[in-house]
Amino acid sequence: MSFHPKMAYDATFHKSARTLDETDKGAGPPFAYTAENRARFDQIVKRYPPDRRRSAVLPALYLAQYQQGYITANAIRHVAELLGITRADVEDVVSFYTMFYTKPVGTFVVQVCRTLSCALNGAERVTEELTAKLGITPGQTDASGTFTLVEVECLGACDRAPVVMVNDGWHECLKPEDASRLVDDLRARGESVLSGCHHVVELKKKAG
Amino acid sequence: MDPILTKYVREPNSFTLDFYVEHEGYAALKAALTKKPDEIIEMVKASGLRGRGGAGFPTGMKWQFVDKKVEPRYIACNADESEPGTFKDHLLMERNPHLLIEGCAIGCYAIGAKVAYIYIRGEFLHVQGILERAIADAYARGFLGKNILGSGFDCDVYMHRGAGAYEAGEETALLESLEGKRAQPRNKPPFPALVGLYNKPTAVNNVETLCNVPLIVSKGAEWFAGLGPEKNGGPKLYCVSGHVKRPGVYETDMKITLRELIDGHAGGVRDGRTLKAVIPGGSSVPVLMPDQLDTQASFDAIQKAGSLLGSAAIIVLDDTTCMVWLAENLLHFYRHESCGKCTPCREGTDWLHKILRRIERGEGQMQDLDLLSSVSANIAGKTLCAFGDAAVTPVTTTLKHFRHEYEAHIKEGRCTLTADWRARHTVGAHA
Amino acid sequence: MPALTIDGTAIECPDGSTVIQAAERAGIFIPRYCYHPGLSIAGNCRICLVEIEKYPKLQIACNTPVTEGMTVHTKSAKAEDGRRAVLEFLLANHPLDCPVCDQSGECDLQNFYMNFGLYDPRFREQKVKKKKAVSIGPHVMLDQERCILCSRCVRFTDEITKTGEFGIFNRADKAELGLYPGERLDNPYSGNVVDICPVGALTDQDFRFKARVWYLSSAPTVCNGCAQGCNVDIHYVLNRPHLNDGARVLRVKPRYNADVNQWWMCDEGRYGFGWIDKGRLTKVRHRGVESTWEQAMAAIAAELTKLRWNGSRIGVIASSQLTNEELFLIREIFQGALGAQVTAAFPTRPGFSDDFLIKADKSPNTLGTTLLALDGATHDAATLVDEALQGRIEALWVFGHDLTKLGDGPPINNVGLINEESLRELSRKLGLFVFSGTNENSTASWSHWVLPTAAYVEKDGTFVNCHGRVQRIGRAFPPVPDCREDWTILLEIARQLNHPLAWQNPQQIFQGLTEVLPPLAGLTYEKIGSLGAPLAHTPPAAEAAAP
Repeated sequence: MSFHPKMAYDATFHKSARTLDETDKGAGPPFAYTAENRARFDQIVKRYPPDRRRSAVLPALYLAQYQQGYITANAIRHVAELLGITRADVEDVVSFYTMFYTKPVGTFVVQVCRTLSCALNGAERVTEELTAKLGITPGQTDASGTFTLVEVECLGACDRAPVVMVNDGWHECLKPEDASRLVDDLRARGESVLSGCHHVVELKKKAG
Repeated sequence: MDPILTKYVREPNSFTLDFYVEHEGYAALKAALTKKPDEIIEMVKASGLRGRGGAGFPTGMKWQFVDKKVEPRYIACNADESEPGTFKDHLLMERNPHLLIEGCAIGCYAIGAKVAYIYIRGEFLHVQGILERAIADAYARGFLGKNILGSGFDCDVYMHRGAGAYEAGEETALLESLEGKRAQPRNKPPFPALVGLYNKPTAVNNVETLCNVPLIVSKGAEWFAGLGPEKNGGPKLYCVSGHVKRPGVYETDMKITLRELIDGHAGGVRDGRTLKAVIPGGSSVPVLMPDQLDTQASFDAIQKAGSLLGSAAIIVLDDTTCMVWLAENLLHFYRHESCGKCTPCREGTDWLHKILRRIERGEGQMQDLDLLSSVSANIAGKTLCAFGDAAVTPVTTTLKHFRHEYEAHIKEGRCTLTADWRARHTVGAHA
Repeated sequence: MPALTIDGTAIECPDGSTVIQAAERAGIFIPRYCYHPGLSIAGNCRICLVEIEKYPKLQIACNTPVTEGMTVHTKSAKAEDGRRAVLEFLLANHPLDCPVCDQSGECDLQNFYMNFGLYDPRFREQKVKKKKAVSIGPHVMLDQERCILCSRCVRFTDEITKTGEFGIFNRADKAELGLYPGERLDNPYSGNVVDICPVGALTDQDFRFKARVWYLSSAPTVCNGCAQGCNVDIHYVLNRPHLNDGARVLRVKPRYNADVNQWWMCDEGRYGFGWIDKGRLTKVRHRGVESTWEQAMAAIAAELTKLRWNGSRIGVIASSQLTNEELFLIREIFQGALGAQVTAAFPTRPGFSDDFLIKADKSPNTLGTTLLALDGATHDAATLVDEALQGRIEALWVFGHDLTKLGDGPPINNVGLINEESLRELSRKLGLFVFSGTNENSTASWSHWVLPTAAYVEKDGTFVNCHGRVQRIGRAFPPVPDCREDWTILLEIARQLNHPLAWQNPQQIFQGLTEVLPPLAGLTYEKIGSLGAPLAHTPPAAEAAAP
């Protein structure tokens, strides 16, 4: 269907889904682990056989992402050098797993679970409300760089649907009508407003 | 049946080592270390414990297959709980992490491994904190590390954090991911029991499976087998979600029926609605219809009824659920999670999703329905791993039972079912 | 040795064989994309699905080990349905740009579609768009849309060259083949990824848009780029002079030889064929003036005859680029009949080499010169030039070599670097200065006689590679008009020197050679065949040269 009337056939059409940029501008600032992260890395690598350092690529990338907010080409270079693998090996991994960002993201990455159980409980409407509130569609970051909205697949807390993950923290049973307030609360008081996982919620309730 | 695995999960300190030890924790490990490794394997075989990850393969057999002539050997615990509708391992690790650690240690002892990696999905950060802490405490108290409890047995347990990939729950893809690669499945043969992690013999076991091992060691294989119907022994965690009043994890034996789980434990369908269909074992299995609710929720009975127990994730659908929408929702999931390695899955899930999206939006044509069946049949049984069969199931099962809904979409040019939980506009994945 | 049945044919094959290998033994072709016998098993393309009795599902032939009593069907309805399904998926997002794709005509997507597909298209969705025509290195062009993600190239750079340039990025339908940003596919074997790419995703920049592949003829030969002697096929066009300025050779492809180069060849050899069609000598020349073969042969023979009782005043610089047959004639005529000083030793600086295929010795037949004892034990090209400059040699015949390349580095013996000045001196001092060769160079311009000869692909004969393997170079196509094979020139000279030789062609010369050289004893062109044959015993020099 290459000649479908709706299909614009021009240079912009042929683009890669890859986001990593290794030009001087896109490679990000020079990257190396902080002393603290380097020490953590050295600890983590010990979990794997000495000739299998590559096993540590996911933890190593997490360290880089926590340190810098997202994974740059320079971070990939650093990780590749520490693990003794090629940069392509590292990018293979970065681009495969959904939890690594190759572009700067907002202070709060709001990840709405969109898979079945959450959707049956209104996740689509949560996304709708958040989209309206933030003025961005899933995949985008707002102009102020505060919020990034993402739809993610099943988070594994289907009994507390709809679930939203904000950065690494969980917020459960988010009713569509409460979505807008969550945004305000996050803005005002940060991640402390998140409910946490349900047993934390229950235990808090129990403790009164 | 009273809960066993989840007996104490509502206790505030259930996750601590002190609490666990006070409640007979690590007694099974102590007992195991006085037996020969082969005896443990024999016990697990005799207990009939079947893998709780989805396939239901006998755990004792898996352990027996591990090549004992090659050193080192490994246990890889599959804690990448990602099957839509499943959240039981989440609970176990969060509230009873030492049970898993004890299971890992006994498993290692049984197959002669010295290292177990717990591959936990990246999104469970709060669980990881608890698990890391529990592992550190177990080391400090001598339940892990060198010369455990003076037995001369060494065992290390490490947590390994995934980073967002459903396919990492496939056992060989999990091993690839543990080796620092893309979570893509390997060809079988060879099976992990012979060539697994780092090309060494490896047992890959689900969290709930390993959590059952200490029970078998301390209470005996016979007791375990006696819980539940024949060949479906032991306690089982059921995850009930969807349109029910009280979604949650319910532990019982496998004699229970789906109706007892849904209407009893989970309080029935909410808002006075009627039940339209049930997915009994995670999004990858065929739906069961309301007249099948008296089916026993055991591996064998559900299979006999035409579906699979899978990960025991029971998703309840009420009469507001559009089954075309459901198929589209799940195919979006499978298309997104396909690892892209083998052709039928990579190209086929994308194709199916595109057709479904068209139909769901009312842009379908009648011949699309045969096309859906045909493309599904072309994927099934031809992929590298079981993902392909899983991915087409939502399509084939809804076409089988709800073909009229597809036809209605095509004739009306829109979805005729309205539900207050559906989006008003097309946003996000639906845009 | 499990015995099994494939499509009704009973076959035994070694333990550990896979179904695809067993089928190959039985002469049954099972289609494949990701499977390549030289690479690890990926099992991802799924086109090799076959039906095996007692297995509920179709199995991939590339990864299923054969077992005793197995019954395999590759042409059953079920197997054919499986293949057709996989093909449909592969073509779903594949662009329909065959008319502008270089692979067209030798594309396994096209071929298998015509053999096993033949369905009507049902994919009505928008195709996934990816990048096209990305130059990823000096030789290779990538089209991501055409890529079927078989991962052969990824495995090639991971397992064979161990350079790891390629990666597959993203996942699911967005998965794409690529290089890390800023990286280049620039290893000495990069061209091989074009050969193993089953589709038009990786194409050859050198060959790109030069000719449709169905215009190409192919002939087996041996690369003359170094002492390894990789087996190659030369792809050429003779009847389309309007293409590519009339160049005949359009590309070189490695030809499988388990004992030499397996499936591979280096870029140096692959792209080093330009000289065959460019800068060729096409006319006999006498001191810069066009002449004829008859005049040249007569005149040269007359000069040589003058020195026939003074043979040591004749010098011959032969070449390890020549075939054994030609070297043998040179030895018979010049060393034997005339008593001339003959050498094929032409010292140069060793070239690039590695531990895979590329050898530092850039001559294809150094071992042949050793066998014929022309490898310069007493004198090499430098000593002969030196003697000529000192007037002790009156007639000098240079085969192919450009003397200015002599040494190609620090001066050897007492000869400085040969330059245009020394060539002028040689030309002035010598009574006879013959250059026979294929291409223009400084030596040709200062010699008295220039004899245009056939390139190695234009003549028949044998080389001995560094591992002591005798390989026939065949004759892909006839010489450029008015060029002659060296062996015909030599036979003619012999006749004119009244030393006629009984042989009429390279095959007969070779037979003569096998009678006098024990390492070649018993060999014939038939025995050498297209894959070569080892020497009866390898001379010690071969061992030394081999690494």
